[in-house]
Amino acid sequence: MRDQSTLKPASHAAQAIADLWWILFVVSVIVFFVVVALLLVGVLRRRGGGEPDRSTSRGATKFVAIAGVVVPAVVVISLFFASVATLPAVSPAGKNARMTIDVVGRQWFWDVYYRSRSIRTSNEIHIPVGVPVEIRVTSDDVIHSLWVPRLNRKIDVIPGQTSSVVFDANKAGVFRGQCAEFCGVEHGNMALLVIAEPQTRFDRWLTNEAKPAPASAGLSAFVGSGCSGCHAISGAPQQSRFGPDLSHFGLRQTIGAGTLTNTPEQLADWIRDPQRIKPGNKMPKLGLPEPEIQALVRYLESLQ
Amino acid sequence: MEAHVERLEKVWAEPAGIVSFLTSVDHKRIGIRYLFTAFAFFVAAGIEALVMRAQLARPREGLVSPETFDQLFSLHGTTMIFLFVTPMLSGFGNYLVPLMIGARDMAFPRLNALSYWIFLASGLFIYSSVPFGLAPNDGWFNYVPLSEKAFTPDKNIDFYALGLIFITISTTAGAANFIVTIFKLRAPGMSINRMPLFCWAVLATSFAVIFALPSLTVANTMLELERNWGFHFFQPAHGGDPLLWQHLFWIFGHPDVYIIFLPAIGIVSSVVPVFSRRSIVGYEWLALATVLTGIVGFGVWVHHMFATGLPQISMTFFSAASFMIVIPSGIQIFAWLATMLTGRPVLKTPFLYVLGFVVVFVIGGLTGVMFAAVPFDQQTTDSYFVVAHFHYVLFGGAVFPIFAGVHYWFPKMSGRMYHELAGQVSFWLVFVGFNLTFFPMHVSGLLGMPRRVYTYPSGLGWDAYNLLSTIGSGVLAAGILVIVLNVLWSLRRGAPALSDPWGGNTLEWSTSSPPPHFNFPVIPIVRSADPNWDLEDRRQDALRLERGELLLVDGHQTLATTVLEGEAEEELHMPSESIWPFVLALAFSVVFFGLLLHLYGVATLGCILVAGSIAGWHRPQRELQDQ
Ligand code: HEC
Ligand code: HEM
Ligand SMILES: [Cu+2]
Repeated sequence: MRDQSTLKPASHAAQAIADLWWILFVVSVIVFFVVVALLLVGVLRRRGGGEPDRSTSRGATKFVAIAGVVVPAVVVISLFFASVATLPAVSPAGKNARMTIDVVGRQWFWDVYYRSRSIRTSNEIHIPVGVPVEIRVTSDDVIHSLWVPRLNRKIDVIPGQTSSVVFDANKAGVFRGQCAEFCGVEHGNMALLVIAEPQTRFDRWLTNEAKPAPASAGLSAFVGSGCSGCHAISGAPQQSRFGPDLSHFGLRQTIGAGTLTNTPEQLADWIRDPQRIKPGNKMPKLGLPEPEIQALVRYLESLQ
Repeated sequence: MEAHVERLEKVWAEPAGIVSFLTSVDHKRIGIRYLFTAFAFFVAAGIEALVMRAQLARPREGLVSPETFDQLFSLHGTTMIFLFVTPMLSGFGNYLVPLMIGARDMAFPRLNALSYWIFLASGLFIYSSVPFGLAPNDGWFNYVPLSEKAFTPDKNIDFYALGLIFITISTTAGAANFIVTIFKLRAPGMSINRMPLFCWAVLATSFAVIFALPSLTVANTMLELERNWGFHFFQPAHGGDPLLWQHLFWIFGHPDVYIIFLPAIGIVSSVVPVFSRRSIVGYEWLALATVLTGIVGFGVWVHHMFATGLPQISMTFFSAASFMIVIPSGIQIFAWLATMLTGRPVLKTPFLYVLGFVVVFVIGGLTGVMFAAVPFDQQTTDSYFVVAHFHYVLFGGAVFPIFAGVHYWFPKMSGRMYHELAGQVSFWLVFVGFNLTFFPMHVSGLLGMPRRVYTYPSGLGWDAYNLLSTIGSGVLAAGILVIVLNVLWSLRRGAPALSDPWGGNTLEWSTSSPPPHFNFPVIPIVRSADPNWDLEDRRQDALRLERGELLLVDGHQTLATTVLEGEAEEELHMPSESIWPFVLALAFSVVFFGLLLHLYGVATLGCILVAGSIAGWHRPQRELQDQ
């Protein structure tokens, strides 16, 4: 269900691409079998060798001209138009996006920012079903690529440049995506989830996200353990953007950009030694005592 | 007649021993060295690939660390492209071009030796990073800003950038040498429309090299300036643009695909007529298609950048150009098919590899067409679908022909036959293993698996396809092992080969196996595109040898002819053995290691040595006249 397959489209754009794929596929299968059939006939029909035949054959040259030039030309011109016809469906232009979300690719996680509501989160994008949402991407460090195959084509995430892709889910669901441009050691663990939900649930989520975390003993532990030197939680005194935003972390489904599932045990594992789980990532092993870890886990999971 | 041959022997003989190993300029020795060295790099890159496949056999496998995995795929890709396929095909070119055109050596024999030594030195330069764990680690196209100091502070990238600049010297010199050789040293009568298609392919490739490589050198030079001297070509914060690297790289990189592929199809065009027992159908079409591919190949680089967010207009243009490049390939495929259909094929190992090539290459070509469709490209680029595609094109399009060539010319090069049954077994293992390794990658790509990931979670439907792939790579490796064993065994035990075991149509088959140092006792005169099938002409050559005409026995001599018509122009005196190419390559190595280690004194010393070696090289030499 958290499928990442290009062949299970959940939007008009992904559907258009999948349709294009099936056209390309069928044409390719036909061409392939024609060539292989000719090849088999060619080598099996009149085997035997012998003295070389040096005649030039008009018929054979004509065959090359027709099968090698005319037919391929007709085929590729048709495919070219099929491809051009699909372009509008996958391009940001022309879509009346009703909402914009900014996504920043970082080594090796995703920052997500709902500018109009000043809401920040990480590694998860919530969108309403049936509403075209413009995802504006850029990078702070190296090139990444945002790819959620069931919703749309990928778009490279390039420092110094802002690009867009539209997510317009036509059904509710959780759609997995992953960074698709090599971006360093943990490129393989740079996933994200797009959660498409009906408008009302989405609105409820937004309202909830907008609430800051209350001051509490847990928050002071979080600050006291040095976590807030890298992580922001809305309502906390310090708002560092070095690591993923952890506001409402208890509602999130994964840890470490899709590396682990968000359960208390796995969260404790992560805080104990993130380097064992995702070697090379930018959160160091902090060597905290076990009770402190458990307190942090309880606190983070309570951030609903 | 005996006397003439003896004299030629004396003039062209190279003394045995280590000194001669370092000073030889015989294009056949150099060609074989190229083949062996490139194959050694193939084995290295193959082992890297097997380790990667082992790591990817299961989800969340922990065989190698992420950093090691990155080095493995970067080194694998860089090696396969720059240190295996390109030089392997140069090896065939070196060995075969002079023989096919009836010349006694390459136009610039010493430059030829230099090309080899620099290839070897730059390969060792890049691999010297491995023991230090500092192999290139940002992929074979090494995108900025990841490859800048800020993100990859160690020397991994300097090994890559300097190593590639270094090897470019070799490839460029080789290309210039091929162009002049093919234009000027063809046997009298071999007008350009009678030239073997393999030579057409090498010619087109060499022009592509000359125009494409500067872009790579420029890109890498700029990168080194950024990394070590504080320049900012690619950094947006300083007004640079990371996409500039991508443009420069792919302006080289896409033509490079054809630089790899064209000589390989030259091999195919050599094997098809001989084993179909008929002159190739559509010679002019094939020659034209070769040249067209070389040219259109320069107009499609942006299809590697469709996902970067470029304007639609420019993408549509490059999409159209990418679709168009199908046409020359179509011509080639159907000309070969027509030759087979109207011939009487003989299914020996070289021909089996060619048939395997056609099947595999058609698949790679068809997925290539898919990538010309912008939206499909944007969906599947940088996924395993691409990995499948480019292995179908590179392995299918280049390595299958290389294996065909290895078997086809083995008798010529070694004077012995390979073992036919072992050859056929190797073919089936390679063919099945190849498809089992790479076909499933199409599926995992469509299921959303990105490339260059060191691991993946289970539950996304990728596990079975990855396991199949890994099993396939084992079968493939077994097939390659059979080839290696067959070659090693046959070198010693193979049945002695005749000068023309296949009934070949080109001139290399008109001289003994292996050919004498001087290739041909008498310069052949050519009147058709299948000269070795002109029995009367070859008899005339033998008669001229007896009469002592056109022998050119006064020193290292060969005949220069006109570019288009191939009319005899003048007798050329070729340089003989020299140590300077080797010394010059060493001097260059000093420069590059100096730059790598930031020992600028050493680099300067290296430059002085380079200048000195060039001077030594050009010191006038007493003509090697009578004895
Ligand atoms: C030096 C900076 C740094 C410190 C200190 C730090 N982290 Fe992190 N943390 C990161 C980074 C960077 C990531 C992103 C890792 C990745 O996925 O690549 C991260 C990821 C996380 C995540 C997973 C978030 C997600 O959505 O995937 C959690 C939870 C987390 N840190 C908790 C903590 C806690 C609790 C502390 C304090 C004990 C802490 N971190 C201290 C940098 C830091
Ligand atoms: C011998 C059998 C081979 C196997 C099993 C193999 C396997 C692989 C694997 C597993 C990858 C890494 C894919 C990824 O992580 O994205 C890869 C990448 C690559 N391979 Fe091969 N390969 C083989 C032969 C070849 C050949 C013959 C060539 C070229 C002539 C080649 C060229 C490449 C290139 C260019 C890359 C991309 C490297 C990069 O991403 O920077 N491979 N191969
Ligand atoms: Cu990334």
